Amino acid sequence: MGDLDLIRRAQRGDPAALAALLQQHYLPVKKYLVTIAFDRGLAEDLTQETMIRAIQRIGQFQGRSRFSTWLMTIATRQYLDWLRREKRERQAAARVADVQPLWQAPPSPEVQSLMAALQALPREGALPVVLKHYYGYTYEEIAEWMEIPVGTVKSRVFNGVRTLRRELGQDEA
Amino acid sequence: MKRSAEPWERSLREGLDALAGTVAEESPPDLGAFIMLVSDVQREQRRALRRDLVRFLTAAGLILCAWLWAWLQFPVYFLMAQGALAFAMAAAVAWAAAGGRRASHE
Repeated sequence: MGDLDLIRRAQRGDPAALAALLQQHYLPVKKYLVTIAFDRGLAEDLTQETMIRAIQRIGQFQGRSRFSTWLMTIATRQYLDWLRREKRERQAAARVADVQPLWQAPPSPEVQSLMAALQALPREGALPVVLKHYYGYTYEEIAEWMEIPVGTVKSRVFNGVRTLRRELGQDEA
Repeated sequence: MKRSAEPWERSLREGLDALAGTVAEESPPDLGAFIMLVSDVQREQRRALRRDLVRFLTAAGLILCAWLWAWLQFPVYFLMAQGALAFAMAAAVAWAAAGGRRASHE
């Protein structure tokens, strides 16, 4: 059954349709959150919160974007709320060690050092780098999701990329 | 997704793919768990809506009563009756909310 049909039924109040829709999108949302939060436990919690928020707001989904994009917007805001609420910049930095056991096969030393540098960035600085250079979103989309000016996004991406380049010895400056 | 052009972008892609890959092998919770979650969240939403509605109606009622009291120059016992009514309504809402919580735990 397609997303559109399930969405229509869910918006009419069919709990089974909404449940099926969320089940289909559960893993992609969790995968997305792992790549922006670098922490499986946190990703799990935020995925739950994203599902709850989606249930509460399903009536507001207007179909202007794909359902998966809508969920990712909610997930991003949940992550940003978590960052603001808990002010866990320092604790998030301490989570670097948690990431290593996540990999089934250890990546190359180059990848490991780049990932360490990415995680060492302030969390609100790493997020636009991932959204821009991994997911391929535009600066405008990222600015809308993060509710910050486009110029701030560009500056955060620029600074983040410069740090990553420097980490891999590719800094041309 | 844009194709990476630079080594740092390839490393970024490789590292994040590896992170995402750990989730790909998991399976989502079963449909029953999602149905239960949807039911719980929607029930809580309805309860919150009812609570807000009762609060709104109570406040509107009190304002209306106070306006009537001032306009029609009712005696003071009207004001006392109004206070008693507000107290009774608040008690009824609290009792109903407690009943709802008990039901959800059973």
